[in-house]
Amino acid sequence: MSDDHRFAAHLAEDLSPEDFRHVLGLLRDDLVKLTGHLEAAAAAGDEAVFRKVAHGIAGSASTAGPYELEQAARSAMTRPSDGPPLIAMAADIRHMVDAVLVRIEDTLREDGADA
Amino acid sequence: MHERILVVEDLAAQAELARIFLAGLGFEVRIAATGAAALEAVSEWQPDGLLLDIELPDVNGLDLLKQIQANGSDAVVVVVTASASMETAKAAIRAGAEDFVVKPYNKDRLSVTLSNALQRRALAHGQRELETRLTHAQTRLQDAEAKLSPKGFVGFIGASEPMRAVYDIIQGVARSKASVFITGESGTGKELAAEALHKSSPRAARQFIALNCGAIPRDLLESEIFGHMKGAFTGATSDRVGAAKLADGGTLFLDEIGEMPLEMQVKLLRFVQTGIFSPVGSSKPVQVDVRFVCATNRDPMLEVQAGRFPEDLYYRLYVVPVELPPLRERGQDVLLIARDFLARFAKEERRGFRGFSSTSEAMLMAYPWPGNVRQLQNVVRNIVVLHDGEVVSPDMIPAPVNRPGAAPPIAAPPIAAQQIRAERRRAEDAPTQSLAEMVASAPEYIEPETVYVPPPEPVYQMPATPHPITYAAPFAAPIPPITYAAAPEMEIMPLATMERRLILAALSRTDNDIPRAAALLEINPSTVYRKVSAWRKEGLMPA
Repeated sequence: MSDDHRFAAHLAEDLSPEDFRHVLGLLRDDLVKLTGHLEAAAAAGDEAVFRKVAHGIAGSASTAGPYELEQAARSAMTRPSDGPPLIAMAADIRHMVDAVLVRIEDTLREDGADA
Repeated sequence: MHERILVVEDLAAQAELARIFLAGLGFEVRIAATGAAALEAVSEWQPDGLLLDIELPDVNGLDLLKQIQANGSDAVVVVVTASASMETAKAAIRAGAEDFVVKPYNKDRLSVTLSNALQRRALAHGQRELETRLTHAQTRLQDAEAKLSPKGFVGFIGASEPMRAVYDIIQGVARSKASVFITGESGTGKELAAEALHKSSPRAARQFIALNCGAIPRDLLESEIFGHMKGAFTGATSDRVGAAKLADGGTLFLDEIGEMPLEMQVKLLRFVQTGIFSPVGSSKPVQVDVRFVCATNRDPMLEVQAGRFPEDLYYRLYVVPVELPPLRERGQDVLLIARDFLARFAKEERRGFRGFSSTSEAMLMAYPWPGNVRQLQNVVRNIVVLHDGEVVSPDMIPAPVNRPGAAPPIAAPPIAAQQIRAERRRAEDAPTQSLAEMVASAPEYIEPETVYVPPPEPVYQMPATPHPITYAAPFAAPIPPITYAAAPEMEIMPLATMERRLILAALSRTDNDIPRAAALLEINPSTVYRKVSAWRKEGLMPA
């Protein structure tokens, strides 16, 4: 969580508080949408879409700084065909995304209170 | 004006983050969430740069990049990727990206990458603009050099003021499709001017088709211009493409347009107005894109006023007038042209001539050249054929150029000359009138070109004694040439007989080429056609 906090703080340095909250809110929405797409692709066994969506999650995660989520998404992007099952990977990522979403909500709440 | 950046990104947070950064850096920003939206925005908004995500929902970012560039956009592209691999970076650059950034990026990183890319683009633009300016400057310089050079302009020789004015008009009008009407005395180079216009125009790669309306029998003129279908008339044994179709995309030059019969002028007007014509014997219209250039040695406005040229057609064709000056008004051009002819003919005839003596040049300069450049050409040709040496001396120069003060009158005002010429044309149109009658009915002043007797070339040689004339082999040597000096000793005969002999001699000389024979005689080819036809009917020459 310390990585999350550091990057979110770095992002906050480049943005006004208003823009910061706006971007975090959009990031939350993106992660929710992408995770849903990832689970659907895993359920359908569609590896191409799975990798493509994982790429989006990795990019989104890197923006906000949740390092574990970013690494998990990158592993999903480059998953070998004989790698872990798609559904298992999607479940791991869902778990991490949920934690990040909590963290984002906390940050938004704290930042809003500060503001 | 702010530079425009199009952010191509499907994830809302990423797109918004880029938008905020870029707006903060002073750019005007738009966002496209799909490849299709990006293509549309590039086309309509024409951004200076793109921040392009490599993974889009509907297309791969690199494929989109190739498509954008194929569409002709010169926007600089920075690819954004979540993958920091070298393969991705190389692929992006190979696809035409200027640079790439890896997520996550901050504002400073984005600023440096994008600014560098835009600067490189600006430098490239500046270089291209410089190259364009340089090319334009070189073109202008070449044009100026061409005009100042003795070698002249696109086939013309001469750098006199009147000719520079002509070059200016030709250059000025060359790029447009406007019709051009060239006027000038016979032998001033009207066809050369038309060809120069064509060669200077964007139509230069297509055909330049020249048609001498005065050299074509009336019955065949429509077919010559519009073509005909097989069976359209007696002798039309196959389809034939006319000049109008041949000139599609190029230039159609109608010389001696004043000689065109009135009914043909009406058909021409329709063609000029619409670009559409029907070949003879066909009802199927043909559309072409033709630039019209016309020429006449008459005063076109006088012809309109006299009712011999339709006013509508006049205004359609007389858009840009080009008046070619007579040679006598071109100063030192006489010598430039004479030297050029001398070099050319000496090479052709394998003679050693390298120039004119100063006295010879003075004689050339003193003569008024009523037959203009064509007459000068004949004189130089005569010198080269009959003499040899390094320098053209005064004794080589034929009459009447070698006789100071004996030049034909040329001082008549141009309009008077035009009127006389028109009178003569009208006289020619009367089928039963002979040359004797024409001369008798003409005013005292006869246009110089009609009395000028060229240098003693065989065509003007006459038999010492009368003998039966045959079309194929009319005359036998030795035949003294006609010169002013010899003229008083000539056999006197009816003028009509003399006229027939002269025409038949010209035909023999030119292998029965009527237009060329007419050019040698400096009369209208239709006159020759008419005369020959009449003589055949009268049994005066073989059918």
